[in-house]
Amino acid sequence: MKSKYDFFYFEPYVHINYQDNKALLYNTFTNKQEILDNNILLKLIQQNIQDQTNGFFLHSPIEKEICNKLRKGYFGDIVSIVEGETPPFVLPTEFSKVEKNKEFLKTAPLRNISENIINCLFELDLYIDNPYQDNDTYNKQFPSVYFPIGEREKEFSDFLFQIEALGNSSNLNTINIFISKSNVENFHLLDEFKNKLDNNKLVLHFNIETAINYKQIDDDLQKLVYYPISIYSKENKLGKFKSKKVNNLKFLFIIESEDQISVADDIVCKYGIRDYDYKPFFNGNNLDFFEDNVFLDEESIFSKKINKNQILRNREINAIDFGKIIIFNDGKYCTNNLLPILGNIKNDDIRQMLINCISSKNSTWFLTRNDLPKCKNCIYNQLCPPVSDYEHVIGKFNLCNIL
Amino acid sequence: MFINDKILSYYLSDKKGIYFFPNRFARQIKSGIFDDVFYKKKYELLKKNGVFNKKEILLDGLYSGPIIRRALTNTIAIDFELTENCNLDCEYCIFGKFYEQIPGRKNKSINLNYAFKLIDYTFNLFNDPNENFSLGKPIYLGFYGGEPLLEFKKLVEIINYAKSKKLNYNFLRYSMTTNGTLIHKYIDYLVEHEFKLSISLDGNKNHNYLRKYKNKKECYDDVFNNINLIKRKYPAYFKENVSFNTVRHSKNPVNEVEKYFSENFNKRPIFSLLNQNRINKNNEIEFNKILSEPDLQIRIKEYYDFLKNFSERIKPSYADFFDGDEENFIPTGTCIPFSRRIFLTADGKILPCEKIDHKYYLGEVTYNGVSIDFEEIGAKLNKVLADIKKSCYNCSNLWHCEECMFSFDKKADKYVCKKFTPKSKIKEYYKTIVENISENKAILSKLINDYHEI
Repeated sequence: MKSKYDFFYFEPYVHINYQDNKALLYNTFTNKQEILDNNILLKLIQQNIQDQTNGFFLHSPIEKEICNKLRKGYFGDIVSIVEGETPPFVLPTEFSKVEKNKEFLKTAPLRNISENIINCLFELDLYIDNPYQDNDTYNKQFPSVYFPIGEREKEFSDFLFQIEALGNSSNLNTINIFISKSNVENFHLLDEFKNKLDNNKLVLHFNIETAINYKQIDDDLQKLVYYPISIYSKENKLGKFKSKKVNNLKFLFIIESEDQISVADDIVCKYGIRDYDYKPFFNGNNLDFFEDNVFLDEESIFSKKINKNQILRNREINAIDFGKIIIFNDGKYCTNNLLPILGNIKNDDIRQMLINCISSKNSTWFLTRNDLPKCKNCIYNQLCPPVSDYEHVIGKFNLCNIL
Repeated sequence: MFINDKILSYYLSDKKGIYFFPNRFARQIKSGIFDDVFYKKKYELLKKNGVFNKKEILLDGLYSGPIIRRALTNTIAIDFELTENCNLDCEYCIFGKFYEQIPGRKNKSINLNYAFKLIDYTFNLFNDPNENFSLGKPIYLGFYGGEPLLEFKKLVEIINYAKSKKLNYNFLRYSMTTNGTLIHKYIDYLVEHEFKLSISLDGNKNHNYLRKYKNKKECYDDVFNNINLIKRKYPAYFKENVSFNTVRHSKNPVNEVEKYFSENFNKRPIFSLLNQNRINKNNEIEFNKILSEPDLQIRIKEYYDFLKNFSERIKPSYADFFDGDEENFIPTGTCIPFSRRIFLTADGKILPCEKIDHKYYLGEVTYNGVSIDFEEIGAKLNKVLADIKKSCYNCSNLWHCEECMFSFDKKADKYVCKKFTPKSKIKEYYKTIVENISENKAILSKLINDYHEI
């Protein structure tokens, strides 16, 4: 009679990250994790990763014990295989592939590039004013908060047609228009945008000061109003503003400390604001506040279930910046305003702009944690949120308390 | 859908994803009777996470005149069938003995005025600032036949005419599919214009035996010499712009052909299969002799499609990492007409691509000009959709259908899909795929590491 052997395989909804003699097993269905450090099993997993297979025979009692425990946590299952029989086909848990990937987009014949890259464009950010100088940390983080230097609409009209063409891209879902200057009444370009772009995609960004001076705030468009607590907390800015009845408006309270959260809470309560959010601001001196409130620890990583698609996405792209192009009023463009520009829309056609976003080292579309020396070897690197603006501003590429 | 194999059952989830269940677990799920607590709990976990959810089907998408007009305004190519005539008489040619003859095909060549009228018409659309969102994108002028180089003078005139016209937002590029026998005469021009050249060649001399001149002499030596001429005289052009297409038949296995192209030209050919529609019943036995057995390299596309459709792990593009909106889904694999190309036949008919039967023409060019009624095309396609919608709802291949509406037959004034796939049939097909992948580990390895589109 032929012998039977136990064969263990991982479920497709399990994520495995093998680093430095330990492996994280994360069950995306139960939101539970196991850290594996048994040498024999690690070798088997490593072999699986190397061979791009999924599953192995269990020989020793300890292997059986550990895998039974994993089975009980729904990380995998065990089947009996008769001697000589081939193990079944089970897809490797970490297998994924993007057909029109970065390499394809860089090298495909011209004919294929345009139609494929244009589908990667999701968000367009238009900075109507020159929003900041290099040392202006405030506006770098919130481009429409402060009063800027520069002339509105300076040269935007020169490339309005390209904006319109970009605006028609099939997957584009948001066009953010950042208006920094308080005198919005002379903002004639907005009418042009409204005529030429899909109004459902337009989102206006301005600060509370601008909102107050805005005599006829467009009711139909989505609006984000920035309220920096450190600047306006002592003034009754909202009192002045509340007399206007405005639809489709959301407040973003910019906070720098725990105290400011309380101030913002009071404002929300006093004025019955329903649609609002808080955004931390790094002022150079409040690292403690970030460590307490923004930095991640194991608990915060697992506070919400992370699905397999998000994990695979984190491995390939930066989901925050991917598909975003920021265009300044002098035509310069980039994918993240905290990083160098990639070119100028006046010199580059749309195809070239998108190729730059795909291939430039200053593009953040593909900036993942695997690119960062500290995060690279962390077992949680694909579960962590994508690299954020805060990390660029603070100059520290892992806002976490784990490493 | 459950696919049962010897050791595991494979559950192909509607919400996408392949799940692997020990057979005893699969039996319990199917019967709804759980004889062990562990599997009952596991079933509940899978259920809670949507594994068994049915995908909501909303086949409410419709074509419309403006959508089709916009597709043409942003098309990739204007293709011209320069001539129906060919200097070869390949055994498997769709106009040859193995196929039912197409009435009205009489070695016509293109009317230049008609070609010019189509250029005027399309360029006018391309220059529409309100509709063109393909700024900076090339427009290809593509030349087909018969053998297009038999009408080289006309090709030059079409290109000169197009070059004399203004394109505000795009620029011109050129492409051609040729049998390669006449290239030596015109290569300087083709190189000067950076033509993307696709040469038909089935492999080495033995592989290529079905490709013959009208006097039955094989064409291999001439084509081979011409390819080497390009390679020698214009190496950079050859590397960048020349590709090969190979018809797979019973005597040219993929691995041998790939080896031949790799060793001789450092290229990989694009394979196509013999067309099995409209076969002439009188010559069917003979046709079947040249028909290839599906080999691993060809079948691997089926395996790949299976994984792509069900595993959720193969994304066509980065955009697919973000949740899509599947409302207004239009069934079948039909492109929006003209979104990829507009094709002008030698007799002035306008088609959405060169693969479609000429009887489905969507417009024409006459002495009076170009006539395309976008609204009418939309209405025509919506009529097909209305007719087939019910069968699409019940078809197992709904989400992965690659059928083009222009291949549908009409019965009793209603369109019907020839590829309607009942559940039982598709299950059997998937079972074979799973069995083959299980038995041959090389398949999965090839799919993961080394697959390229055939």
